[in-house]
Amino acid sequence: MAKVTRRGFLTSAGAAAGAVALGAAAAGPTLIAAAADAGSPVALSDEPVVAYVRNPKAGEVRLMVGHREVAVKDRALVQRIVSAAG
Amino acid sequence: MSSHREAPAISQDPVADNTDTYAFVSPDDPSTLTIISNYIPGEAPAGGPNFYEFGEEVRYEINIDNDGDADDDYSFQFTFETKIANDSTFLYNTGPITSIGSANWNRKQFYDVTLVREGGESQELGEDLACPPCNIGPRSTPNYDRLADSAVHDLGGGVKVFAGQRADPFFVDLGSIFDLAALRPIEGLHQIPIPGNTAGVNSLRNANVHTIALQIPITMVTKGHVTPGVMDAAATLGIYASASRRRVTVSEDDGEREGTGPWQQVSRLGNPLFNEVLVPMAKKDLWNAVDPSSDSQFLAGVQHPELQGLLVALYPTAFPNLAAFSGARGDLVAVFLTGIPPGIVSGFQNFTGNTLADLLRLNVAVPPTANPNPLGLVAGDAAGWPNGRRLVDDIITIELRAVAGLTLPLVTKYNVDAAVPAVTDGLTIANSGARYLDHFPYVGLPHDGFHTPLH
Repeated sequence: MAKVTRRGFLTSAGAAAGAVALGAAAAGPTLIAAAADAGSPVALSDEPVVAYVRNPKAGEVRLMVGHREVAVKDRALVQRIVSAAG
Repeated sequence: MSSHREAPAISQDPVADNTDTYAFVSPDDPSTLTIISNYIPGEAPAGGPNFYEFGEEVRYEINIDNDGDADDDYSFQFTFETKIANDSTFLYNTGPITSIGSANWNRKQFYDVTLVREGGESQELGEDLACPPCNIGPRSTPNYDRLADSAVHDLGGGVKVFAGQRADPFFVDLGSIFDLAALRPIEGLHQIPIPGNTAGVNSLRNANVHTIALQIPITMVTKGHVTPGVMDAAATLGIYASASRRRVTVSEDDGEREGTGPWQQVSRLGNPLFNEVLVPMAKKDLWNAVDPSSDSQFLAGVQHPELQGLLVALYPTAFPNLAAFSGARGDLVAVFLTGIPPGIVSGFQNFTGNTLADLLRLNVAVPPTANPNPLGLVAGDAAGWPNGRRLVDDIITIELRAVAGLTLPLVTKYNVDAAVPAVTDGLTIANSGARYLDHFPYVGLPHDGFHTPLH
C-alpha cells in the first residue's frame, strides 16, 4: 500500500467525490472512506478540498476549496466524518 | 507601540502584523495622496541568514471608504511571491548586490497589485514588481539608496508603489510606558517614583519594518472623483490597512504550507493605538478579525478608556479634574470613530457621519504644512493626526494628552489639568532614528546590519 501523505491525501480528496479531510487543526493525515453516494457525477479538479466540522452537533460541514468556503448542512455527512475520525 | 504586537494572536504572526498606517497629502505633490502601511515589528537590522520578507501566504490591503459607510470603496491588494535563484547555497546573496536584478541575489521577492472596487470589480495595476533586498551591509548591499530607489514603481495613471524594508519611523518609550504607565519626564508624579534620567528612550530607534507605500491621485478615490473643498463631505476619506490569511493552512510533510479557502482578516490598523489601548485584551483578536463597520461593539472602550483611570490612579496628584470627570468621552469618539464634525475646530472637519468605525480620516483638501508641527491638529496644524497621519506626528504625546483630557473642552465645559501639557514619553521626532525622505516613499532607508548589529 502506498504511503499516504497529507498532500497526497488532500489531492485525492479533491479528486475523489465524497472524500474529505478533517479540519486543518486535526493532527496528522487522516483518510476516511468515500461517501457511499456522492450524488450526480461532477467534473473533478486537482484542487485540494478541506472539510471543517467545527461543532458536530450543529450538523454543518464547511468545505474550503480554492478561495471559497461552502457551508453544507448535512447531518448524515457530518456523522460519517465524525465516525471516520474515530 | 502603535500597533506592534498589539494583540495576542497577531503577536505570533509578525509578517501579517500591521505596525503603523499613515495617510497624508503628499508634501511634494499635493494632487496626490500617500498611504503607508508597515509590517513586521522590531526587525533587527542584522537579520541573516534568513532576512525579513513579506509573507507569501498573506494578502496585504490598503482600504479606502469615500462615502461614510465604513465599507471599502477601494481596496489596493498586494500579494507576494519569493523566488530562489540558486537552490544549492544557503546564502541570501553570493556576492555584492549592485542592482535589483543582480544574479548575486539569491532570494528575491516580487508582488502583484490589484485594485478591487466596491462591488467586486478588480483591475490588475502591477505584476511581478520587484522588492529591494534587505539592507545587509556595505559589502552585500553597497549604494543601498540607489538599490532601493530602483524598487519604486510607476504604474501609470499617477500611481506609484514601493514594497520593501525601511527604518521604522515610529518612536515610543515602550520600556517606560508598559512599566505601569511610567512617563520619564514626569516620573516624580508617579505613584512609584524611580528617580533617574528623565529623558525618553526610543525602543524602536534601530528597528526596521517592511513598508508598503502607495501614492495615488486624490481624485482617483474621492466620491465622484471630485476635488473637494475642506468643508465638503467628499473631502474626507476613511482609510485603514489590513492583512489576511487563508481560512485554512495545512502544514505539509515536505515543509511547505498550503492555504485553502477564502481570505480571513488577521490584522488591521486605522488610528494608531486604537486596538492597543482602547480595546480590552480579551477582544483584541476579535477586533483584528472584523471590519471597521462593526466597531460600534468597541464603543465603551472609547467612551470610558481604561487608560484614563490608570492616569488618575498612577499619578494621584496630577489630574484632579480628570478624576472628577465621569462622563462619556465624546471627544475621543469623534477623534477615533466618527471624525471631527464641522463647528468644533474652526475651518476644519473630517467627519464621515454617524457610522462608528476606527478609520484614519484624512481631509484631502487640507494642504500639507511646510513645517509640520508633530502635535498635529491639537497644536493647530490641521495637516496632522487626527487628520490623517504623517510620519513626523508624535502620536504617543498627542494621544496621552487627549486621554488625559486635552480634547475634552472640544465637546464639553471642562478645565484641563495643569499637568497635561507636561504629559509625554519624552520623545520627539529627533529621537526617531529614522531618516525621512522628502519624496516617495518618504520612509527612511533601513538600518543596515553591519553598522547596526543590535537593537
